Order: sequence, then C-alpha cells, then structure tokens
Amino acid sequence: VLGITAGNLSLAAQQPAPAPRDLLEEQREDSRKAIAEMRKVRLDPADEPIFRLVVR
Amino acid sequence: MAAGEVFFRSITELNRMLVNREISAKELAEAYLNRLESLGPRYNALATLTRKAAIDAAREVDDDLKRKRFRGPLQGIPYGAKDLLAFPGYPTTWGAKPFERQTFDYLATALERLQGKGAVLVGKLAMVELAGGGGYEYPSASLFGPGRNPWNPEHWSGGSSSGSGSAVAAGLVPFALGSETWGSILTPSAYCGVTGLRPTYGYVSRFGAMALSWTMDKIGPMCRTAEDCGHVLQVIAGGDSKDRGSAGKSFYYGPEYVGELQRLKIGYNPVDFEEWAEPAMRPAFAAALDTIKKLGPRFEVVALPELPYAAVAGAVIDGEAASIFEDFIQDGRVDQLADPYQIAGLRAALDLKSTDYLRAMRLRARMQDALAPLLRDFDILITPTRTRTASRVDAPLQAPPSQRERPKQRGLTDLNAAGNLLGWPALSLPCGFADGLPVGIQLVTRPFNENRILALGVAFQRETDWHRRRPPGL
Repeated sequence: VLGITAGNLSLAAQQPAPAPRDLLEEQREDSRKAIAEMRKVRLDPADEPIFRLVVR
Repeated sequence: MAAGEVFFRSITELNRMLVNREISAKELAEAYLNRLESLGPRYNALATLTRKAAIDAAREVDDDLKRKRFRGPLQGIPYGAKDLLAFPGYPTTWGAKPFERQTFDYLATALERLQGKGAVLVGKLAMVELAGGGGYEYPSASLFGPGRNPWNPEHWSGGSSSGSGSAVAAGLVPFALGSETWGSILTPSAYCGVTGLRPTYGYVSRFGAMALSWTMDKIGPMCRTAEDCGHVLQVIAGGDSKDRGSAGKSFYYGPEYVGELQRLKIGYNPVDFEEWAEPAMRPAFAAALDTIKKLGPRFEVVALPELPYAAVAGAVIDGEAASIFEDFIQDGRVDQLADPYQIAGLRAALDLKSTDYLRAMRLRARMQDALAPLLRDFDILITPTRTRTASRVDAPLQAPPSQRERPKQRGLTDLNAAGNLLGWPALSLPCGFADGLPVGIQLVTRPFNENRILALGVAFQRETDWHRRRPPGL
C-alpha cells in the first residue's frame, strides 16, 4: 500500500486549513480603524456636533 | 398604439400619449404590470406587484382625463417604489427576511404625493436588506436574491436600490423611487445606465420610509432622463410636518431659470477620471467631459480638503442604525438576515461609543465649514459616479482593489461620502460603456439648487443617446 508521505502530498494539502473568519471581529476592527482616523483630526471644545442636519 | 411600444419611453412622451388618448391609463398600467410580473424575477427586481391598486388608480386617471382634469406630467404614469416605502394593503419587507410579512396601514408621504398627481404604483421593488446599513459582503444580501443587471445578468445591479435600478433599465417601469444614505441611488443608477437624482437632504419627506440614518437618509427618483427626474422631484419634494428632517421647501422644475450654461463654473479633477477610474472606463469619461466642455461652462481643477469623510459617514450610519435596530439586533432577529457580514456589522455597531458618534457629528460640522467655500466658488462639481463598473453577482463586494498602483492624490473621490454627509444633491447620468456595462458621471451642486444639475443633465442628454440605449434583448 502506498502510504501518504510528505513527499507525495500536494503542496496545498500540506498547508494548514485557513482559520474560520471571525466576522464580528473584522467589523469591530474596521470600526476601530475608522475611529482612529477620526481621532487624527484635532477638535476644540467649541467644535459642536450637528444634532440635526440643516443643510446650507 | 400597441401596448408593447410604450416601454423605454420617457415620462414626458408617455404623458403626451395619455393626454392625446393614444393609450388609456389602464392599458398602460396593464402593459407595465404584465412586463414587471414576467421580467422582474429575471433580475430579482420585483418585491410585490400592486396590480389591484394600480388598476383602480388607472381607472380614476382615465375618468379624470375624460373630464379633462389634468394633473401634470405624472398623471397616469406607472412607477415602482423601493420596498422600504409604506403602501397599505401590501407588504413592505425592507428587503429582509425578518420583515417578510410586515405591513403598514398608512401611506408614505412620497407615494401619497405621487398618488395625488395621478401616478400609478405598479410594484414594490427589491432592495438590499435593511438598505445595507450593517455593511454587506455579497450582492445576495437581500430577501429577493442578488439584484441582476439588465445589461449583463451575471453582474450586480448595484445597491441598495437594486430593483429600482434594474427595473428602470429593463423598461419594467418608466421611473422608480429609490433611497440613498450613502450611495444607494447613485450606484444602481450608474451600474444600470439610468438617470438618478439624490435630492438635497430634507427636500423629500421620509415619512413612511424605513429609517436607517435619520441625518443621512434621502428619497429620490431614478428615471430614463434628467428631465423626468425634475418632473418627479417637483411632485415628491415639499414640507412635511410628519418628517422631523423636512426642510419645508417646495421644488419647481425649471431648468430654463438656470441661465446660460456658459456662465457655469465647474470643478473637476483629472485624477478622478484618469487614475482612479478603471482603465476601461476612461474613454467614456473623456468623451463625456468633452461633451460637457462643448456646452460652454468653464472648468477648473479642484480637490476636497483632506478630512476623514468615509470614516465619519461610517460612524454616523453605525451609530444611528444601531439605535434604530437595537431591539432587532439584541433579540436575535438580526441572525435571520442573508448576509453574515451584515449581521456582524450591525452587532459591532452596538459597541460604538457615544463619544465616537459625537466625534463624527462634530467632524461633520467641521466639514460643513471646510467645504462651504467649494460650493461658493463652483456651481457644479463633476466626478465619476463610480470608478468601477458593476461587479459579478457572485463576487464579494469587499474584493481587494486591482493590482494597479493607487493614485497619490485623492481629487474629488471622497465626494460620495462628503456629499451624503452634507446633504448635497447629486445627479448621475449614463455616459457610455466599459466592457459592455454602463458608466455614469456625477454632477453635484449646492443644496436646493437641483435645477442647476438638471439643466446641465438635460443639455448633456440632448447631445448624447446613452440614456436611450436598451439592454441586449430588451
């Protein structure tokens, strides 16, 4: 019986199976990146939020 | 007049036929109902056919026309509405499995206004579930399956107003209503080769529409032509005490009041068209810019100030959508959505801190101040509506960008996020094809100045025939 050795396994088969995706963590990571990007802009206490968008 | 000859005609042309009694409103409604019913499923465009309501409404129109009671260009014109607008007697699913049997006993204001002018609703149109508020990974993120593009059904129709885009493109309705929080009217308009108008925030009442983001949601028309968009906006815009975001303003469609196009000053950036756009799209954009230049306006190169537009838009939508759907997420109904990435996105949005939401809203005020001079100096800004054509229906939407080098300058590429954050109006015009798929160009202007972009759109469509092209076999 021909045994399976490292030599005749395809290269792909030797790779470990990809870890299942953690979608919640991916989304949280995206959110963290966006927040980090927002934090690069320095705001003063006088910078008020738009509570209701009034276009002008 | 054979009923089959009416498809792909503009609102103005159809109205002329109705007024001249070449076709009755009932015949027209039946023709479109049958076409929407038979071809809608091919593109996953149809949510619900509203046959009985349509025939009743069309009969009333015929009665009015017989008595010479004219109600304007939309009288007797069939249309479709994105399935997030309440219409009593029929389901309003928001494109999502958990809301499959949801009904409302009241009428959305936008539909009420159309009804008042004699327009005939023939169907509710498919959409991405919950308008894609949690971020979605695949076009199949919908109760109705992936929106298929009439120009190539193996490609996506765009979202989240997927059915509105494909139904207009396939001649299943003369026009449709869509909604946009961040790209949901303009994207399917560009992908499907139709003309789409995102009105100024607050112009069109959202009463009776699914809320995704109170401060960013807008409802607008998707049509064959810019002129048709003007006619529809005139009817659906206007103050409404039932919508807290209502601007309380009416719109009168009058492109002739804009004055000579030669006096317009247009801001654009070559990097958007020549570097950000996929190579196959560039000839279409170059030809479109040439056509607009020949109309006479002055062009100047401009760029947006560097600010985190996309991050802010994402945080605003996350914060507001998480609050709107908090119970739905907490009690686990969210797990019935089709797209796992969107489920995770809505769950993650619950974690957004109030200080981060407020930071986004403070930056939004900063953007309002920073970008105000831009619209004082320029009458219209022009960019590609999208820098890529529609992806395949089975391909992930978050696919990594192509291998070509990322352009060094941003140009006006953030205008989609910025325009939605600041409530600016935008018009997407079909301007050619790349690899057999439509390409769209976007005109943006000051709030409540829709006539300006519509006037340029009408002039552009007088010089081109992209908006008259029909998908293969239709």
